[in-house]
Amino acid sequence: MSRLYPRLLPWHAKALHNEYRDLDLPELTLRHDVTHLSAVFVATGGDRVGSAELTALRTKVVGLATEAGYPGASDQAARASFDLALAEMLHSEMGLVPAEAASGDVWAFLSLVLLPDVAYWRYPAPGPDRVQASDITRHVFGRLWWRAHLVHDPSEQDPYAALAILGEAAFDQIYARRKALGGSPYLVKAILRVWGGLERSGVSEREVLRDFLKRLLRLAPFMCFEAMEDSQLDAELVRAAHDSVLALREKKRRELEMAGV
Amino acid sequence: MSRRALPYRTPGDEAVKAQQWMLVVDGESVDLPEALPDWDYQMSLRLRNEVHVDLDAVYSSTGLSPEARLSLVVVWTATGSGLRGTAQRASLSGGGAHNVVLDIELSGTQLGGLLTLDTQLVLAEAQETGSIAAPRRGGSVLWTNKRALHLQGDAPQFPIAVVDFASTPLPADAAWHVQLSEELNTATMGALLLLVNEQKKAVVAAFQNAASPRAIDKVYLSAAYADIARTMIEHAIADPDFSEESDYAEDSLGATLQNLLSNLFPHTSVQHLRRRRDQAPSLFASEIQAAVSIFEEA
Repeated sequence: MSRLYPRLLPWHAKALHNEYRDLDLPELTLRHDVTHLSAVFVATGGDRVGSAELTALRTKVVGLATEAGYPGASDQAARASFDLALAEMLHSEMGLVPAEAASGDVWAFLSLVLLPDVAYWRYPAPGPDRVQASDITRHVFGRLWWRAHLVHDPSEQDPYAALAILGEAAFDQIYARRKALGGSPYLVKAILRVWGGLERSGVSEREVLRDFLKRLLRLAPFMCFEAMEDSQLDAELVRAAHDSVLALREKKRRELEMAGV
Repeated sequence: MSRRALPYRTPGDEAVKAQQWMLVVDGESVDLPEALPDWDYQMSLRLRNEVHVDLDAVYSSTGLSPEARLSLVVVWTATGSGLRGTAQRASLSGGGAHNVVLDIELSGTQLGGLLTLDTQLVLAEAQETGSIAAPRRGGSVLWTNKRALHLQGDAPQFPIAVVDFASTPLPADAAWHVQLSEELNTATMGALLLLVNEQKKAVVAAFQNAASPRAIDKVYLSAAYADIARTMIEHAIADPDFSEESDYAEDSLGATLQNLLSNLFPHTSVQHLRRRRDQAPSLFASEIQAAVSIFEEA
């Protein structure tokens, strides 16, 4: 059974963000709640979550944050491991269906009503899209749910193992091409499999991924990635990724040659 | 059959033929309609089709050798969730004619919005031994057949929430309010919400009975639909950058508004509608009532 979460409407989200941006963490903790006077639920499509479940969700998120240094300062590595653990927890325990998770208002409720302290700790002085969910691919919690959803593989011993393959910035490159590539969990998982085994020494990881994704975008109009079995899809992706590495190595060699090195 | 230009030879229409998709409900097959108004994402869809593939004709027209492995696949795309996946994959090899039965079940939790079923004949793995201009790469699409289905339940297509307007900045005595994002590139699911005032009991009841409305419910729903359509149209044409040519993502609010306008005013340009609204706003409001056939069912 899918679960319906309360939605915080945009004008309330905007007002709360304007109020919260200048508060410190203890004040934000005092403001957290499991309800908001103006929160709404959509009428059909699942069972509404209750206060007890929201409280339990908050306890778990705060627990993960505490392991990463909350409420104190945290370094990049701690934030990255917090994100991975949180992505898995949100996806495995919230009971959200994708159509519901596509609503920014659901995520705005989480970041501005249930967990404002954790949200503003994870992104100090955040831009509106981090907490108001005007762009889910940037939201402090929403982007993690989607990241987990696209790599989740129930047939694996650890269904979320692929979460760790790409860093946040690299994953964003795939997710930003959502319409052509990132909407297909099957393709995203294959990209991660191939990326994990790709020999790319001597060239920038970021540039290789960008070039690799460009090649896939060029193939997408006449290739159906989802039509192939795993092994065949991997073979095609390896070919494209390998071409990217070779092209960038050649580009680098020419640049060094031009520079007279 | 797709008419897009592909960088290799493709089979003629005679080589691959699809029947019509059927919807299976309680074991009975019915023609798949254009829309399922009562769908919500707790409802999975079982669909059947049959595709005739003449492999000899495919090989001869594409230049592929008979050793080439082919697959017939069904790929679904749902704008409500922004997801895409494979529903069925059938391997084909050897020669002769085959009737491939497609029997798929799609989980409602992955769907929403406009569901597209792409049935495709593809080269299953890379093939280097074919003749000139034959497909080579694995996954190359040789033939495709597309079918769209609007999943129009209120939850996925048009999210509705019942709320006491007194607890919001909205007028406490209003009956409904359409919340629309200014950012037309935002996904429709997150950019659109119909709020119904819980103090207006008759209106709430009408929306609750929308799947099998009573006569009185039909009146309320028709009035609401006309007003919502008008609000959405006004929202679209008030944006100076909005036009029928604007390039919005398939699942975005902008695309939803483009679809609404092309359905209600199929032969009228956005620019012309803008002029009508500016020059004769009250007449324009009545034209929208006519376009949605207000109270016709009521």
